[in-house]
Amino acid sequence: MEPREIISESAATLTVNKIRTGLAMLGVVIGIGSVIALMSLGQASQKSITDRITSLGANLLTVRPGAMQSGGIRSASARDTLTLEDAEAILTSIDAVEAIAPLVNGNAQLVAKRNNTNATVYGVTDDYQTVNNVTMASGTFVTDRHNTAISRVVVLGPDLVTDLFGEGTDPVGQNVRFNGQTMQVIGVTASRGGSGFNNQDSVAFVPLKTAQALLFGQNYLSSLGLKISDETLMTEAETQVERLLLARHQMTNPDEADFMIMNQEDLLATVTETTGTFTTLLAGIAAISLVVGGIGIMNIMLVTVTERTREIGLRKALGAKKKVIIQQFLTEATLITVIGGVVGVRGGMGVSLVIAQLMSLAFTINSMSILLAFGVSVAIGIIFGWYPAKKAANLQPIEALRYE
Amino acid sequence: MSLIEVKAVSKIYRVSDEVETVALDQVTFSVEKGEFLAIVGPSGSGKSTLMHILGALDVPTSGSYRLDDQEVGDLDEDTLAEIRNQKIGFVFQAYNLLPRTSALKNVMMPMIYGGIKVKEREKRAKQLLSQVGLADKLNHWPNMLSGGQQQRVAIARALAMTPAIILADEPTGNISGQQVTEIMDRLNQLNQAGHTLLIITHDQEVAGYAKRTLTLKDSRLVADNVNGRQR
Ligand SMILES: Nc1ncnc2c1ncn2[C@@H]1O[C@H](COP(=O)(O)OP(=O)(O)O)[C@@H](O)[C@H]1O
Ligand SMILES: [Mg+2]
Repeated sequence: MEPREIISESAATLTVNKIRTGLAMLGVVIGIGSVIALMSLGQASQKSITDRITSLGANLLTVRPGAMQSGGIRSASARDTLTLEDAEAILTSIDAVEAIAPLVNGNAQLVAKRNNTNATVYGVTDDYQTVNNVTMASGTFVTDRHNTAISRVVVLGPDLVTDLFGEGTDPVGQNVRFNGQTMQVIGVTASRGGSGFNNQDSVAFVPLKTAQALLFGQNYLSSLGLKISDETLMTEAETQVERLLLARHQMTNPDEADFMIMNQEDLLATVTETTGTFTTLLAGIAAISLVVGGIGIMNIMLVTVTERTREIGLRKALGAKKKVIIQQFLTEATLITVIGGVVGVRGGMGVSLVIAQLMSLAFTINSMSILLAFGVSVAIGIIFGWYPAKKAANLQPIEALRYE
Repeated sequence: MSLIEVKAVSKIYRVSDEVETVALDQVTFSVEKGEFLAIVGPSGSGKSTLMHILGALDVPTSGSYRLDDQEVGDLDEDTLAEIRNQKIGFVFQAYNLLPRTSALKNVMMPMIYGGIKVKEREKRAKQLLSQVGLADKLNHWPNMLSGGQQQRVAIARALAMTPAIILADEPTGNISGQQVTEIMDRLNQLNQAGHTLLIITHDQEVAGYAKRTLTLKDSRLVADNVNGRQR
């Protein structure tokens, strides 16, 4: 029997009971669909984060407190190690460092009149604006004067303005309360669009010293951005910063350092690794639904074999060998899973396209995942179709013909 | 060497651990090429069991069945399938046509497993169906045909691979009157064309077409008559 014939005959059989075939297919559609949607969304968020990092420029170093451990995970015990004095020392004594952006961050619930919303609060200095290319929609950013005076002022991201004051209003001059403090709004940053993981539009900026003294009650930095005057000086600057910080922290062995210096590449690598792990994890969970779909197919195929016992007996009586019967049933199972797979890929892409638009992510899909999904569909058909097909092939012709 | 040689063939069905049914008991006979044989006997006497063994659908519990000088009991399942496909044409009492499948496709089925090319299959199936007077019913499903017409499709299918032997188990059991004569005339023609023909029947009239009659009773072969005389 030629392959084309086997396929067209299987297709004809499957169309006899369309509802059943459709239901069997649904499991695979959902399984493949969710794997594709999650992988595509994972890739999209990864791309959005890495794009942001890249847009900051290649001449940026980030110093973080805590010791570097395997896989880039910081130990929680050694977080309180980096101070504003460290940052100022770096700026004054290392020529290649053009600007510093020390940062403390935390979360807070912001309240304005009757509205409230959750926000990430960044305690920053005026240099944050230059180092991170922040543009303003209205008002001004945090200035040096605000920092020295420990002023109660805040710069809001556009999403926060919408949540607290309503869309399109200019809140400059109004008050916002959080962590027991009343802060005056002095500016609104321009919208950058952001991903769910890393939404810059819902950040509230306050003066660094205000954050340390009034909001979080600590003297340490969460991170320190360094802008290097020239890309060619990056490696040298990194060594100098390391040496200076080691000396200031009274350490001699670089392996014991209680801080880490990351350049853009390190940052990209860490982000890619974390989001990659996350995506794989989600896709793995979705893959479980594929197994469930496969079991559904096996179940339907077993029912089909029982129902078609007489037909199988007749085919064997007329000369069908085992191999031919196995081929016929495997083709039927695989046809279900492959069509389910194609529908699933399209559905998954559709879903992730819609979600990506809602989260203003760039929609991405790589052909690898599509190919993989296709391969998996075929494999599921063969794996879960095997037992029913084998069962059909082993039926004894006379017993099958006698079957009522 | 005869075409079919059956020596001391027994078939015992084990229904449960204690209960055994002896369906065939030490049956011995042989059939030459081109013979027309009727197998008669009361219900439950073992006729169908014998036909299943002759048709390589089943193997004897003991004894020897040689077809074309080949010991059938020694063959594996796939070789048995090949023998059923190449050497034997079955006509069943219940027709056993595939439902929701055209007459043409039903007749083509043995040719699929016989490895005949698509074009040749269709040509031959059309020819066979017109020989049984169904040229205008090629695309009819079995449920749109009368019993006699369905049995004629089954006969056309039995001839698909031009088998040496045609085995028919009560081929007229579900039809009557004029249709019986039509079926028997067609089978008789086939015998005259050189096919060896074995028919199981209850019907005296049907048995009358055959030159030789085997009678089974209580699982044993009790008579073997040629033209009414004991052999
Ligand atoms: N698969 C089977 N299992 C158990 N007993 C069977 C089976 N097939 C046939 N028999 C028994 O064998 C005997 C012969 O049956 P069968 O060959 O069908 O007779 P006939 O065709 O002459 O009516 C009967 O007693 C029947 O009940
Ligand atoms: Mg019978």
